[in-house]
Amino acid sequence: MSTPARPDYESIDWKEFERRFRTGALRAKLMRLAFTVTAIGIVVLLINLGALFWLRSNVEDLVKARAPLVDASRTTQLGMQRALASLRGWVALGDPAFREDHDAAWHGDILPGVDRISALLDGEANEDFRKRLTESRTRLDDLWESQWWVADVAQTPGNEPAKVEYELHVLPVKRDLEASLFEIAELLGEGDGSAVTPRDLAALSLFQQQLAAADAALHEAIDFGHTSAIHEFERNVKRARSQLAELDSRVERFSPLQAEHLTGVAREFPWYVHHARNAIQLRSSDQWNVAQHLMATETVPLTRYLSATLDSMADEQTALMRQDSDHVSLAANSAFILSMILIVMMVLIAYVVTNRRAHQITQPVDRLSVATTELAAGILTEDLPITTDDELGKLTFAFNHMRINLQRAEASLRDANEHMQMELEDAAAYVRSILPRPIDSDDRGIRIDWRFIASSELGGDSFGYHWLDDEHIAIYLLDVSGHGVGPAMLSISAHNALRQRTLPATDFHRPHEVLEALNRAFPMRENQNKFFTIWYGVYNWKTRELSYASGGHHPAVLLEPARPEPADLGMRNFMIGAVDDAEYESAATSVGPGSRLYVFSDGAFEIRNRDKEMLNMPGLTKHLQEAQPQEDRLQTVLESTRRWQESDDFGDDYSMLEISFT
Amino acid sequence: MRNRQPASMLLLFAVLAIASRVEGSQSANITPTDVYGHVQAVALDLDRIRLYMGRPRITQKEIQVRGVAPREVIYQAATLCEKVNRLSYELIRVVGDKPAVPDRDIAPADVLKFIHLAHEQVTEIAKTLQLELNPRLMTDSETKTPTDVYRAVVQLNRQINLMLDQRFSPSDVYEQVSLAIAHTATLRSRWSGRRIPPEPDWELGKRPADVYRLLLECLELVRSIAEQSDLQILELSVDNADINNVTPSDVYDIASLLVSELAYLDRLLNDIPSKRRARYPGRKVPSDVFQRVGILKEQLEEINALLESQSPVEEEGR
Repeated sequence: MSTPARPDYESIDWKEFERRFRTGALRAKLMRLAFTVTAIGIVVLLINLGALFWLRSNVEDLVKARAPLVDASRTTQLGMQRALASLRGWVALGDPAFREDHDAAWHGDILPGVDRISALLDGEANEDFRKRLTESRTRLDDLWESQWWVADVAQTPGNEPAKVEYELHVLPVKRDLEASLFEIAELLGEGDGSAVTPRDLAALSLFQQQLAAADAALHEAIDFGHTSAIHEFERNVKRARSQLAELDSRVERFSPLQAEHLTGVAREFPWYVHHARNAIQLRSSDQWNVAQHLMATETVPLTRYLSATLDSMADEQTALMRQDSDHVSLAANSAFILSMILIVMMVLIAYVVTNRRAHQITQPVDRLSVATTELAAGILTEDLPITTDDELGKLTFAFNHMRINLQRAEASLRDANEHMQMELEDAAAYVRSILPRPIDSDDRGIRIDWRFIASSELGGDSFGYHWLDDEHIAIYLLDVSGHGVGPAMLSISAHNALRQRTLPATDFHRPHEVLEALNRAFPMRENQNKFFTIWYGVYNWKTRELSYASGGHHPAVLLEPARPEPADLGMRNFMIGAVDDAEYESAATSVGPGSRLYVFSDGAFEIRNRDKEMLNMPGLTKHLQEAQPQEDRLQTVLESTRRWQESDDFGDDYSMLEISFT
Repeated sequence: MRNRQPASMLLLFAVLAIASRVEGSQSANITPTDVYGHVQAVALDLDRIRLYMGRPRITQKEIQVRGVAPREVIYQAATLCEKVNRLSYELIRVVGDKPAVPDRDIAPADVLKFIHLAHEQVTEIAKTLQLELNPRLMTDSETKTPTDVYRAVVQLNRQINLMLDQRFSPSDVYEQVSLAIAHTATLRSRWSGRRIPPEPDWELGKRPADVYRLLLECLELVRSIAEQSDLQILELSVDNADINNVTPSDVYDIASLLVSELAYLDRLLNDIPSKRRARYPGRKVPSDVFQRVGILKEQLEEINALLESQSPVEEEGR
């Protein structure tokens, strides 16, 4: 920052001054500092947020895609197993409940499961996964179609072609054979003119039995596929054919009608055998049960394929889930460490930046602080350098200007003070000049001594004594409120009024009249609200009577040799000037020989020592009593008081009168 | 056992001679006219058996179709083989071979093989029944189209049905419709999702005519699907009055036609066409068949809607 040129404080152009310093520059600096620290914090937060979002994305993958995908794969697999089991139940038992359960498995588990997998893999980046899913959907459609055909054919006659062959082709031939044999027997029973012998009848009967036995074996072969039944069928066919040949050789013994039937039997029997063998062949084929064959060749392999595919997809998803979980865990740890590093860095950077900026801001403030202290101590004599153009620069400028003004004012004040001190000293000298001289000895038995020490600020004390006539002497001490020349002037005026006895219509022998006259002469409203206290006494040396009154003043102390306790001579009257037309009372006491009266101002006892203890009247009285044996008692008391307060100076005027009565 | 009569042997040799001629070097040159001649020969021989059995002659008008292709004829020829086999079993207990429709473009020669097999079986029946047949090949001066052959085979199928004790029933139609569902499911597999929808509610009192109408609706849907795939199928025109008189055999024929069209689309549009076989479903009534055709119709509607609204899975890079 450029340093402004040193200004001329003697002739400041305030408009130019306002232009030189930018208003709001300090606030801008503080805001820049705050924004810098905040920006560092925001950067750290953004980095943390980025890490957090990355973690969230991975966790979402885990929660929303991988795990549900595994779940959907398993559900679909279970659905396929359920559908297959139900289909097997339907094929084996024909219970419609199995078919319903089969449909329920498809519509409740498999199709929703695959739809869910498709939805979850929508947008899957893995091309192989998508291909496998598409392939799986096609295979699933194949499986659905295959199971539809299995279910459709399972409970129809066409499911077992051997039985169809028997029903459609074997059975009609067999019925024809049986019908022909029945006709022959019927004709024999009707006594047809044939030469049939019992042996012929036996051969016919035997053929009939062998045909029945062959048919029973055929049934067993078709129903159960037993090889033994097939052999049994073939044996019976062979025997039947043999019997048929036997019958053919005896055909001439049968009647023509019987022979025609017998010829029909001989023609039909080979077709019976032909179609029966077709049926056996169909039963022996691996497609003897169409539904089971479809299941074995289509449904089960498709189910296995799909199951394996879903299994592998689920396993892969589980593996990916574990991998993602590891990544998330690792990333979480890294993010934590990164966060900690960033936080530490943020604290360090914030500290460095803040410290540097704060130093830039507080340096002028510190200088101002030191300068202010020096200014207060009066040792600052040079201007502070102005290093910024902001409010601090402005403040420094103003401070320099203030310093110059203060130093000027101080000089003026010092001159004024010195002048006033001289005036106060003059006033104190004047006050001291109007004080009466001490009375060393008097033939009227009175000796008066006093001590007066004016305070630095000149209090309002004054005192005096003068003979009113040959017998009476007036003694007084007054103390104007406040300090300085004003109170001193009032004190002198009151003092002069008493000394020159100018109070109108006043008997100065009567203390209360004097106080009432003073109250009228010096009302506080006409004297800058100043009032004064006074102790006023008149002593008749012939009668040894002392009459006295006090207005707002503390009592005087009378020490008499005849009385061990000091006597307090005071009255409870108003201060002079405080209350218009106030009435005052006075009192009188006789004074024994050797007695001493002490009249003093409050500056003699309203003083505190270093422990803030007040001396008070009792303390002063004690000092007075202790000083009695001394030659110079007033000096002794003064020194005792000085020792007590541990100082030679007094905060108020110190006035003390000692009137000794011989 | 079969009696080997000289006349029958002569007839058999004649048929075999014709067959060997066809299967020889000429198979590539077989025309619909040739096939038509053989169909007429079968019709003549069959008529001889009909007379023997005392069964009525077919009186229905020929079916009104246009734009028939050999692939559509061959399924009617396969139906002819089925019916002749059933007649053969009922009369002489012999069941002939049941050929499979070739999985490739069908030529008139392929149709002729089926006609031959049917003719062999008819000849066998006549021989067993000791009926005199006239071993001649019918020739016509007019050039015939596959449509003519188709009409003739359908008429032949109708005639055989009248001669059967166990006529073609709703159960047979049910089988054909199941086969159609299998082909449609394969077509539907080009898109993901359920290939066979749930069956509609069973409705009481349905007649063959109801099933026939529903199958015609399915045929229209197949035509729409084919056209969206730039393919053509035959145009069938059936008088509403005729529909009211249809028999299960007629329903079977239209179901067979539907199967032929769907198998064709299946083969052309899919890498692996359906290999499923229809199984004997047991006794079925027209209401059962109607319900099953309902499944087929919904499948076709779905495919139609998918073709109109979204790209097949193949186009998505499947």
